[in-house]
Amino acid sequence: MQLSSHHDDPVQKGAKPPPSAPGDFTQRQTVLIAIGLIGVATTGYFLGLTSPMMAGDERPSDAAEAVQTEEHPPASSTVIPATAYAEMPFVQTRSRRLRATRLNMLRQTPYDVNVKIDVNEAEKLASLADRETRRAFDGAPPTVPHPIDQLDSTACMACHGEGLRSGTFRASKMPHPYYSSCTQCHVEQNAKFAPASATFENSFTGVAAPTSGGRASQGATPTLPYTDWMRKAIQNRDPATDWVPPVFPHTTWMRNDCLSCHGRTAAPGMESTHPWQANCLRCHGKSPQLNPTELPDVPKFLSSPAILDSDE
Amino acid sequence: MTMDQDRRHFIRSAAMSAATAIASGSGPFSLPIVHATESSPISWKKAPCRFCGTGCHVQVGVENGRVVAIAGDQDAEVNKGLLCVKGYHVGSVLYGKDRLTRPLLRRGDRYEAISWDQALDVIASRIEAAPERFALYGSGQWTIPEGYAAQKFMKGGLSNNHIDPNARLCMASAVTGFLATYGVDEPAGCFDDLDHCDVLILWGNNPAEMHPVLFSRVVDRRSRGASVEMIDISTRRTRSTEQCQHYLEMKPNGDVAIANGIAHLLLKNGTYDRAFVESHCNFKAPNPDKPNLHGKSIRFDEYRQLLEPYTPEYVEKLSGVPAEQIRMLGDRFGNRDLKITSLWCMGMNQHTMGTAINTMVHGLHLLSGHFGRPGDAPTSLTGQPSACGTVREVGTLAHALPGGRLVAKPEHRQQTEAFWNLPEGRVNPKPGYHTVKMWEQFCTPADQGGDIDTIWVQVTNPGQTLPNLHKLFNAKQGLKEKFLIVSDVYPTATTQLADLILPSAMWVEKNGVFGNSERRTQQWFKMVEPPGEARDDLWQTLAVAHRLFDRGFAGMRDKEGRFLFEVVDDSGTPVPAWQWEHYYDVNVDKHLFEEYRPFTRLKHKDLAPYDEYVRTRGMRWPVVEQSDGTWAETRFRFVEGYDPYVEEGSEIQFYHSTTQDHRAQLWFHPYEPPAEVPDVAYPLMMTTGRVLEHWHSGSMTRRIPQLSQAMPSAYVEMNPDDARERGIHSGDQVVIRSRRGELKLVAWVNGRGRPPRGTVFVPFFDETLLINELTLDALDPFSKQPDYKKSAVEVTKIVTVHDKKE
Repeated sequence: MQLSSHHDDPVQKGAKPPPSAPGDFTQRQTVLIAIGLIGVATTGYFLGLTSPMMAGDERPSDAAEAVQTEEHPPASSTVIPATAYAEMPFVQTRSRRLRATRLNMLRQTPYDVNVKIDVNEAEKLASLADRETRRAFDGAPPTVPHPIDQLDSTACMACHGEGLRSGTFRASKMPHPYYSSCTQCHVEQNAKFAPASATFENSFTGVAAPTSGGRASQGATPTLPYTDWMRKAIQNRDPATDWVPPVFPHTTWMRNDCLSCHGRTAAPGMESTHPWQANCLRCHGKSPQLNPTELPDVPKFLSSPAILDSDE
Repeated sequence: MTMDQDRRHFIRSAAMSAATAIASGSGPFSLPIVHATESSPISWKKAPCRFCGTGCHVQVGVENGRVVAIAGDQDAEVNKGLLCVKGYHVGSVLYGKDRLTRPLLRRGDRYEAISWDQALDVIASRIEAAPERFALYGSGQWTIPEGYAAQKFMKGGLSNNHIDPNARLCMASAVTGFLATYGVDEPAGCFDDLDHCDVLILWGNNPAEMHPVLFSRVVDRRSRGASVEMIDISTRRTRSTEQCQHYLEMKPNGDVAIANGIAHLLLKNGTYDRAFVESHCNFKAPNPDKPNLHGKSIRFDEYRQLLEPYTPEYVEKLSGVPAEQIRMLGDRFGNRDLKITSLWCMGMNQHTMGTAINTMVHGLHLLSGHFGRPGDAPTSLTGQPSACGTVREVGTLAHALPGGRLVAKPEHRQQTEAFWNLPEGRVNPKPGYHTVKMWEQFCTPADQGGDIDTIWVQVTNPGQTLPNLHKLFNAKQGLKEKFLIVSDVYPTATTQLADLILPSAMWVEKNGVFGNSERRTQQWFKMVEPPGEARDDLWQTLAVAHRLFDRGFAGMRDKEGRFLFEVVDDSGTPVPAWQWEHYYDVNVDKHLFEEYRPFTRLKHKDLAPYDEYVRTRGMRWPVVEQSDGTWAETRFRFVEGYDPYVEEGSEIQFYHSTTQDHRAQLWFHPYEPPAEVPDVAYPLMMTTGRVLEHWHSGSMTRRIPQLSQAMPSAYVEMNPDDARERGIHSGDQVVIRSRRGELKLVAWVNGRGRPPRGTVFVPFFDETLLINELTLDALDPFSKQPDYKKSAVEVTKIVTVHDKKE
């Protein structure tokens, strides 16, 4: 804490009684004094923190109010930890990813669909695991890992309308059609306006996300690097590749925009290896299992030709 | 299509369909994600959501006997495949770690786990000792069969009318508003109006948080290019306000003045719908000598005269809404080319003039002719999943009998006794205690006239939701002769004072039927087992009834001496459904539903056979059988071409008119100030309500981590100027006091809602921070519904830095 210098406040030092009694007693007393001292110091710290920053009836600006609201109010005091000026811009958007981000990494790199992308199974699984932390079950609307504007959806759309990627920082693109009331389904986690008044445990276990889509036949494993092989397979229509693209392992309801999760702003390991191919449904079938229609499960056919018995 | 979308076989076929990069909408029948494995064990079944009165349908994914996923049901007309955040997480509601799983009997400060058999004996003995001092308190979360059984048990079995629901606290004024206007309860329009309206007026309503799916039905139309004008008349800015073009900030009770102001302008400008009024309306004003829902008839010129003083300028004085905006409302209602839908819920119902303002908003639509076309509708919303289906239709109210009947009416009692095969005179003609009175009598010592000794609470949480809790609930503590029985799924503020706690099954742990806000009756089947010894509320009622029957209690027998709730199987053989192990041998829900159906004809609220509801995602009554044997629902009541009970050629017919002339009643009520107004000692007006993440008393939603983490605690929302005056900042601990109690809360300035100067808001979901210890118990004189929205309070900062919360 930047304000730990309060502990050296001379007034509090003066409160320290001189040690006198010998032996065990001294030791115990010292502990007690130490505890007392810490107590006084802490109180002083908090009081000190309250008075110069918060004293008086002058209300801070709305922006400051928002900052205070959203950055760790302590569980049981009126004190809001101070935020360093340098940190101010990040207070509302700090996330794990952002903390790991250096400024020079945030430079926009132009998006090139031709950049070779290698599929990394481990990365994909890690991304899926990360994805699960924000969902009660696969199919639940993801929760929001950062503070939100309580009243307005405009701020959501600023980042999630088209999605953005800058360095390691990533805001996914909305995968469904525009609905104007984002908070109807997506709620902030770790809301910080008040400490939790009670906690309850819950043992709900949601269904996990699938890790890959099924294929009608595996065929020959591509020998070329994945991306090159894809390009060749698609461009040359090379039947020798004998390979079938996977079907969607998930429904497309509310996930209509494939590129939201598999395009430019995809999580590591989830990217399409062939983003220049804009027509996903040409090759990747929607599973009738996951997107059942009113159509019958078993296809119906016209009756076969009636063949006369040889006896007739 | 099949209801049970059991997807065990993953078909490995890849349909190589060509389309755009955006996977096109998957058609209206797709189901959600399942494991993409060869043999996914997930089965999907339909159910209405457990929470609010919108009545969204969800698809419930069950794997190995547990709910593992939820999806919006794309077949459902109400929600069209979408849900709100509560709905998406409704599956977790079953799995809170502290589910009640055993019957518990109080021994001093602790509880002894007892068997169901013992529990039934305890209840039977309490009832036998004094059946007339027993009361049953239920809710709009009762399923229709549960409410029907409770109703029959009390009024048919015990000849006791002390049965009332928590819905008394949430929509009683809507009921009296409908009755006083149309002579019959429930909205004429439906949610389809939201797809057609040009103007949407929110009367003290925040649907963006309370009915998000319905709200989105309108705002999403707008984002797709439709032009919808939205007007918010409210006492504080909310998320709904942000989507509205107009925000009319009113003082409490200002709505009454505004409604009069609009009517005044319609008459003054000559823009009212003369033809509609002349053919379909009578005029009424309250009768001070005989205050009831009939009032006194007045002539049109008297009506005009009464409205004379309500000029926009006078209305501005009363309501705080600028005269210019009153004129704007007058212009909208005066324009017959627009289609106007009004939405309201607790703002107009929890109101000491609740009945009045309900009739007046109906009246505006009638006076201006904005009635009867799709999109032209006064629409009252409900907060509970079956407030309409169970409370209002089954009539689980102290004065009512099933199907819109009244205990006070001899012919209604006779009809009921006939349906139930009871001896004449079994149903008690005297109305029982309404909610507030019931709890007042329960919390008053017997020797001081408190003549209710035992209350059995089912599916609700009065220890949190009653107003003025110290008086109406907490006072029970220490009264030796009083005995509180609570059937619930989790420990609550109510179980805190319970003498006997019964563990209940909930939602898809049992069969059920709900009725939502748009007259839609919805059915679901049991999908998973309840935990431990938790059992259906309906079974609990049946089992107690049978225990009394076994003990020779005469009321539990019909005319022939048969058990009141005899259930037979397909072969006509009685099934011992009162024994838990046999309860699911038959579908008791279906049996009771079919028994209840004939009751619904009297008020033309006809229900279809049970199996029709199994097949569909609900149907809106009256559901009438067609010549080809199919059953057709009704979207718009009283309107020719939609409502089969409207006579040909009459266009609009109010066929349950209280004046027997097929006309609706158009009411005038004078403005009155709120029951409590801020003064020097209590200078702030406090309003209470819900938030998006939590439903009702939060006993379910607070156990869902995603919701609890989004909204972890109650708070007091303040205007920045009020906060500054008191030296309060966001995050500060403050104490809020009213004449009835005080509470420590965290202040939130510029938070989710923005109350105007002089107003604070506190949500009521938090059982550790019971705001209803502060609320006023002033009632609407007709509906007996309390006004939770207007209590005078003061807020002070707590100076102590280290405030230990209890």
